[in-house]
Amino acid sequence: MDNKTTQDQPTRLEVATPGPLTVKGCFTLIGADGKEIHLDENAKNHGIHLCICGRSKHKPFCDGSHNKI
Amino acid sequence: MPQQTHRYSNHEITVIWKPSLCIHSGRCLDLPTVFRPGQHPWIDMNGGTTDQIIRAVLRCPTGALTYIRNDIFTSEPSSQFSAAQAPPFPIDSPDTTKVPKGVFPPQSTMNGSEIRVRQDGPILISGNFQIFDTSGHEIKTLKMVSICHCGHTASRPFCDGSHFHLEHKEK
Ligand code: SF4
Ligand code: FES
Ligand code: FES
Repeated sequence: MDNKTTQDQPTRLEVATPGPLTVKGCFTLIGADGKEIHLDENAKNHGIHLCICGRSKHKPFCDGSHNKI
Repeated sequence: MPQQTHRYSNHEITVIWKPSLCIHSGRCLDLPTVFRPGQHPWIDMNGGTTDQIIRAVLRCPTGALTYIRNDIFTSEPSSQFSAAQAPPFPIDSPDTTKVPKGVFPPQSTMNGSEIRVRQDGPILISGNFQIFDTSGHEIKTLKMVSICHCGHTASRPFCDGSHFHLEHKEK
């Protein structure tokens, strides 16, 4: 696995069932209010987790609630 | 395979909706008096001015919504359009020269991708991205996809519009 995420590499998304959606690489995250959610570059390179199960109390992020389904 | 189309007219324009292209991104819902998921017909052409409707149609990121001016018809367009009939005009070639600049969502202005979270709706992904399942197999997608965020879709991981019904029930 390459450790550097370069600007022109596609963002890598991973879908787990029932969640979460892992997003890795170069991307812009825009919240429900239309404003950008600023994220640490390091966090982005490691991957952030978005809730896709609908249960999280900290949307849009996954808070582990998907395990309770 | 002919694409299914639905048409909705007011006295000036006809909005054409192609369900197969709709990813339920909900951009059109910025004009909720006209675009009313869950109701029949879901587009109410009397709910807004022609200008407002055109602007909303142009916000549709997928081309599911297009419009044409009625005056290009030789006869009155009927709002009951059967899908089996061929449309009397080339719906796949909207006159892009008339589209005001800056109305379309910015797409290829950056590297990487844009991930947009909608309240009670899907996560919209556009730009340069690849989606994989947990075993590392790539899930082939369109240039823009919406991932279900509510957990109720029948076609995981993609949004199938189920969140619309959910919203209605919760109200
Ligand atoms: S793709 Fe989005 S904006 Fe276009 S018709 Fe469907 S919900 Fe509306
Ligand atoms: S996917 Fe983890 S809380 Fe929803
Ligand atoms: S977000 Fe659309 S079906 Fe779940």
